[in-house]
Amino acid sequence: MRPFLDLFSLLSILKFLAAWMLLLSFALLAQRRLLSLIHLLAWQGITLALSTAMVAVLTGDRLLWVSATLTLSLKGLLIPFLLHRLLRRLQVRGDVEMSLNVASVQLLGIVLVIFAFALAAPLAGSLPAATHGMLGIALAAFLLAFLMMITRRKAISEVVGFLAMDNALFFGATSATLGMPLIVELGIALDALIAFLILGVFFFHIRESFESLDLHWLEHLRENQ
Amino acid sequence: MNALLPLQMALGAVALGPLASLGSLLPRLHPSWLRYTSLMTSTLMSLLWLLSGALGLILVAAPAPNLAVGGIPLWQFRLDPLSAFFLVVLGVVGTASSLHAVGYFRQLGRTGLRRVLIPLPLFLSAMALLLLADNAYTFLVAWEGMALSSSYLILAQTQTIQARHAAYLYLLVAHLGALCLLAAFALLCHGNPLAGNDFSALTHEVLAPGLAQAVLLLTLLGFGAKLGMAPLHVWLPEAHPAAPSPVSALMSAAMLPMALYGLLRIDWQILPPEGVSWGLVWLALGLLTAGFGVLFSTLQRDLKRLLAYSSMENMGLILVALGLARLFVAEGSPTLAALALSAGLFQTLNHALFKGLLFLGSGSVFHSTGTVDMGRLGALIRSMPQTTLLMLIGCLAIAGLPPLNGFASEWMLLQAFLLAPQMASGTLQAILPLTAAGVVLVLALASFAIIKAFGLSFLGQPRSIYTAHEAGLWERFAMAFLALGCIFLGLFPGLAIHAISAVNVLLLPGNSLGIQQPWRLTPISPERASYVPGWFLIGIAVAILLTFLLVWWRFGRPLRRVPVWSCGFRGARTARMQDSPAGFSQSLLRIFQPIHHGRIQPDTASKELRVELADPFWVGLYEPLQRLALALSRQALRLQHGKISSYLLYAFLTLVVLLVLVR
Repeated sequence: MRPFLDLFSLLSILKFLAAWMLLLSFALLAQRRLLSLIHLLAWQGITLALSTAMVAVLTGDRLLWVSATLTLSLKGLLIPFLLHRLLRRLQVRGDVEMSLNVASVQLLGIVLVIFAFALAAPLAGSLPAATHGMLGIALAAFLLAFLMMITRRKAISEVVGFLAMDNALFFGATSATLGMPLIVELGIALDALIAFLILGVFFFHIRESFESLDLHWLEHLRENQ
Repeated sequence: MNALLPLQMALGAVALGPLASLGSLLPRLHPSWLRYTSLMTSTLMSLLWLLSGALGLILVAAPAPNLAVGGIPLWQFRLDPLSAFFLVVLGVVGTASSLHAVGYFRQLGRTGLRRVLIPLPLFLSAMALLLLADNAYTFLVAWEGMALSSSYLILAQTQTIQARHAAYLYLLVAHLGALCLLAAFALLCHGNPLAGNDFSALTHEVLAPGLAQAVLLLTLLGFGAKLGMAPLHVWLPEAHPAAPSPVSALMSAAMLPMALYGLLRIDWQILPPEGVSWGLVWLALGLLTAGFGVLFSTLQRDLKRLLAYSSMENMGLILVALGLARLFVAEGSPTLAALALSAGLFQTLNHALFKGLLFLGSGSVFHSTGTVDMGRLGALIRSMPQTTLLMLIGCLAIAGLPPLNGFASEWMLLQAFLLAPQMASGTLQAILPLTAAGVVLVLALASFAIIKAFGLSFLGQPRSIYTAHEAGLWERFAMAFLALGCIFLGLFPGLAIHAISAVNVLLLPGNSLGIQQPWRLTPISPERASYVPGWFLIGIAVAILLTFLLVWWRFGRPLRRVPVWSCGFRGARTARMQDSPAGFSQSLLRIFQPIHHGRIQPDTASKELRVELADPFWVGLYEPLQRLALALSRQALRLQHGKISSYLLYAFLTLVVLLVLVR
């Protein structure tokens, strides 16, 4: 089959998607509202699916199409939908409190991106020339998601951060190495889903015990006050 | 006869142990049935070990009989003279303790009995399994089984806070020791103790010198913890008094020697003695343990604690003997090495006999009077005459008086010291006489301690009101068994030395101790320092008879009964005019004050002086360690404050640091 786009434009699209991924990570870091956080997560999932599809076109691997479809349905649609429903059922409203202000978190995020690229540079030598920047971006997105988990107080935003980390790992695996075995992918997807379910159960328990989803109540659980 | 038979017999007895434990769980069994069946099984097991051990010492097969069971993990067993000798020790003590326990536990109900009878056969089996083990895996499993089952036994009868504390401390030290052993075996087996290398295969392996030193250190710590070696002894004086007496007897007389067996097996057979340094370390630690043990033994008020410290002293003496033997091997004089090694092993056997006897006797005293506090006892000779006679034999034996067995082994040890200057090099010539002086001091203090134990408990007037009764038939039978053993080995020490020579052949380049006649102890040659206990017995008997006749002839006719002189004190003679436990050892209390930091405090309630002792190792070593551990944990607690975001931060920082480091 002759590709309907030439290689150069395909790679450009992939790079554009990577940049978009990083931008979404920053947006997640900055966003205060829970509902918007979930939307951003959904966008990230869709981006991920698109980039997987691009890789599928690029390499001609049929299984990657399955993977892209799976990503789209699970990460782009199902999990955001579930989170959305959870938000409604738990009736969480308002903003997410952050332990640092947005500006400093963003600055910290930039430092992390530079760090991630510095880390990825020596590794990139072993990768296909076309995907040099991808590993850095994936690592940066991962660290940014981690930073987001650290700076948030509400339980739901922790889950969003966790899923964003998962997305970043996934992105790194598919884009930087141009595809990964379907079985690994299925495993990761299942893990994410299970983690989501467990955390969902925990939310209800946390709220039952403390009548709030604010995590600082958990500090009462430590020993030796 | 089939060469494998003793090993199979011993293993069969090992297998009986778990069966007996399971049998104790049967519902609706009458307590006395439970007691008889289970303890008779234990007795049978111990007798089988005694028999197979004796056979193993007599019929020495050229490759020692061995067996292997299972694939991975592989259980390997072997019965060589070293195992056989310690099997005899275990068999003797196990038999006596099981028989004594039939009487000792007669008042327990079903639940109380089960607390004892479930772990007891397992404990016996674990010890025998340890002796028969021929690879690291089997050895370590048996070692752990021994520690676990005995810690249950400590708590079998008393669940007071002190007893629980003692059991916990024991378990802690035992596990630290087991960890050291695990590390030692991992080094020995090149990181894989599960690989089915039997011990003889390990013997041929050549270890790097640094590795061998590490193994020697680790095994010394591991076995030393079980042995009650000086800085690691803290559990011993707590655990022995807390346990029921038959268990104390087993722990003291059979379990402590297991550590000696381990030292001989690993540090001697697998890593043969080379160089002087480890011999000196053993010698020094042994002397420290012996001196410390005997000093604290003299100052005790509790009979069982006194005996526990005395066990420490005996283990220290045996370690001294083994260290001396190691030095002699390094110096190239196998004759003297054989002498010192035989002295150590003979002392182990003797200790099993008399310490077992004394612990069992203290159990009968406890059973009869409800206390082992020597400040409350006295005059038991009137209410328990037979027990007193048996205890007297044990006391004379442990005090090292001829013609009993304690004298024979101590005589050999001292002979080994006295012969040392002929062979040893300059430094050793200076060190060994000093050590010998230390050993003599220890022996003298040991006699002092045992006189205190016997005199205060059995003679004089009762120091409190109690109704004592003679020990039961089973108890007396068990004690008589051990007492006869003391007398027999005292009169025929040559038999024991002859049996031990099989071990010498195994461990030393050549056994050159010479042929022993049963009734005569010949350390080096018949002309020099040989000892015939029979003559002593006749001499002592004649002297006693003559004195008796003299007194009877001169003063005895007609027999007059008059009141005892009461030291010029007008009024009634009271029990309080006798020595109290603190009073008896007053001089030692004052002389050694800088070591034990004992404080004398008046107890207003009972109008007595009480002595509070402080273990210098506990104060100087363990308490600082404890404080350090607590302070560190408190610092570590700061990390835990319940904020999820901080926990995430820890993970994040770890990740970043690792990424930086790994790239």
